[in-house]
Amino acid sequence: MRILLVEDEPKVAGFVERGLVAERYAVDVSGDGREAWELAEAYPYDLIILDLMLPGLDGSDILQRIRKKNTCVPVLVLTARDAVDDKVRLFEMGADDYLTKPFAFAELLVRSKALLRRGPVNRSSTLRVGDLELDRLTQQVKRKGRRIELTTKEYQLLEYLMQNPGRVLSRNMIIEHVWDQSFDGFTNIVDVYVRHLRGKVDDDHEFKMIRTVRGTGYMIRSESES
Amino acid sequence: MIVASLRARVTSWYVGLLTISLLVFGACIYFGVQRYLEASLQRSLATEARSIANTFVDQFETKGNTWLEQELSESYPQSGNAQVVRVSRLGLGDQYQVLYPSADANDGMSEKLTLPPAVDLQAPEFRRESGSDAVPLVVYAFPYKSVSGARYLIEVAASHAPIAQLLRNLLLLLFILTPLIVFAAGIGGYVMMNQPLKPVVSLTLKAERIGVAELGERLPVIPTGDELERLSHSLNRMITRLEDALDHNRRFSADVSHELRTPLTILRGELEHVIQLPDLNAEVVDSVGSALEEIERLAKIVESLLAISRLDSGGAGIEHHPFDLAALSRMTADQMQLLASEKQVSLTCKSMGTVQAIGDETRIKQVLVNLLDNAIKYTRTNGHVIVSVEAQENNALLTVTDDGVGIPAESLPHVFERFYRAEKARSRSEGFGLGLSLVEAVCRAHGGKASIESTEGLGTSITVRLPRADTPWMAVGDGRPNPPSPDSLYIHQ
Repeated sequence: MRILLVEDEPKVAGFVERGLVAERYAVDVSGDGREAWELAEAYPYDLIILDLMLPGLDGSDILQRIRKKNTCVPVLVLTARDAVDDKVRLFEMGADDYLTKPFAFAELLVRSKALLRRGPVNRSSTLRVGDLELDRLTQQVKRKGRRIELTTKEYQLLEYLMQNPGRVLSRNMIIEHVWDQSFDGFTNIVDVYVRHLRGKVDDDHEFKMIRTVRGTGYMIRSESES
Repeated sequence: MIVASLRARVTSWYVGLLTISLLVFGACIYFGVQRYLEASLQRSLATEARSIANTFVDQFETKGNTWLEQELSESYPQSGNAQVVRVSRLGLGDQYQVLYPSADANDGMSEKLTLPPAVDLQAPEFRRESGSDAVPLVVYAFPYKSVSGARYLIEVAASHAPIAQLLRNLLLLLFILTPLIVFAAGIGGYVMMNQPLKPVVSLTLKAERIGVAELGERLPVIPTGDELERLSHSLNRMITRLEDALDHNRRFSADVSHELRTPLTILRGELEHVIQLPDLNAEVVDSVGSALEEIERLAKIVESLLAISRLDSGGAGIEHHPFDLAALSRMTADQMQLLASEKQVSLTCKSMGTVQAIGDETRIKQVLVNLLDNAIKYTRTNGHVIVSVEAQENNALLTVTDDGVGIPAESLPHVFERFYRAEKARSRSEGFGLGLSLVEAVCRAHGGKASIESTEGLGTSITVRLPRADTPWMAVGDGRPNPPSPDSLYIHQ
């Protein structure tokens, strides 16, 4: 999988590249608009991560050129301005997703993976992480074969965590998936729900599957992954 | 009202000055007239006395007593004359002989000298005495030595009554006229002050209407060419400067938030990388984690500031669609239920049926979440939070009431200010001091209003007023070209 990262701020480009390489992606980095456009034209990338404010050629120009060439490469836009009109325009221009700075790298990674997979995340009817099992058809959750009763929100939260096993999910991402953006203020609703979920999933077992990554978010992992 | 009191003050000042000058003027006239009248009376008495001495007394010694009496009574008839004459010849010691009496006791004359002639008088003098019938008399006594060496005393008197009468009339006139003039001038001045103050009244009303939101408006310029025109010009210049400053302020917070993002992104990315490194000791993980938490907090502050300044400047792209505020509040309360039960606070929603409001449903939901979150945070265990929605005339009212810690009265006017925190109730660990500012900004951007009531120790009630859907406002709201997009609803990303 080959990713083109277009970002003129070297430090941002640095840690994003490092992170993506650690996930075993091939990454080309460009800090100049014109050069980036040439790269995008020359190679069939699987994903382009595009910062909007660039020297040479503006990010939105590059986006338009890519779409004019009718390539269906997914484009994830990074932006420092989040004026509403800007976002509307981005989607109209053909961006597939966007992230507003400052973003968590984990979020960039999850969104990138989703775009690389193209289409919904794991839609199989049963999700399995270690000895934890979630049946999407019956909406039943079992650990070591023992049934766990969950509320709707707890179920949605667990489902989202289990879709991304071993991956840190930020509060922001969880709120966006399980609740809606209105809750992304100063509430600690995610923490409260995770605590309840833990009580039901982890309390009776020695291995605690739901882990807090301080300052970042939460993740679920199986005993073998830890 | 300021203008009314200014008018009264100016009027009373100048009425006071007018009264004082009228009093001084009256006194001058009164005493001047009095002096003049008395002096002229005295002058005429003295002239008479001298002419009597020269024309009659000198000849008396040759022509005899009868002649004198005849001549004098011809010149100064004893009745109907203003002047009374008495001529006496003085002898040795205190002897004297009246040659011509002022009047006989029985001839019915009105005035008569009552005192005997002053025999030892050396120089002429004036004196006063009351005549018969207690008429005040002014008497001129003139000692005269004839050529033969005989001594005479000539006394001429006149009644003081006419002068007194005149002065009394003058005084009466002054006493009546002064208050009349003062009164008329006061009324006239008060009425006339109305005219030049009218523009001030209209300036005041207009200036009060120009709030922070309508700074684009200007005061009417009063083309009078005087101080008031200059005043309206300088007020307008001041409003312009105010507008510039506010604009600058808004742009500034937007720019700052914007510029902070890239360094925040880098900080976050680098620290997230560090915390993922294998074999870190717990202390490092803890420190980096704590730093990451603060970055997250900082990022949220930046987002909120940006959102507020965008709402303030009208560039937030608020949608105006009718939605059911009652249903929204029921749903939100439901979603927040766990947060409440976690703190053992009861959260109830008292909104039945439908209340259609106009606005941006997602933003209003954000307001609801913020208000409920706040209410739950500042309510003690076993407390109550109640959210209610009702329709009131043209408004849809959303009220969140709690029986929590409340807010001190002195803090109430500031709770909607950015970064304001009532010291006692809101500790640093919770919130950023921006939640209520955001609520207020969203309300204002909707053409609504947020208001707060609170009693320390008893609880707080915050009311949000939004336009209702079935009012004419709807036509305006629907006319706005807003591209429908799911993410135009989001403030934070």
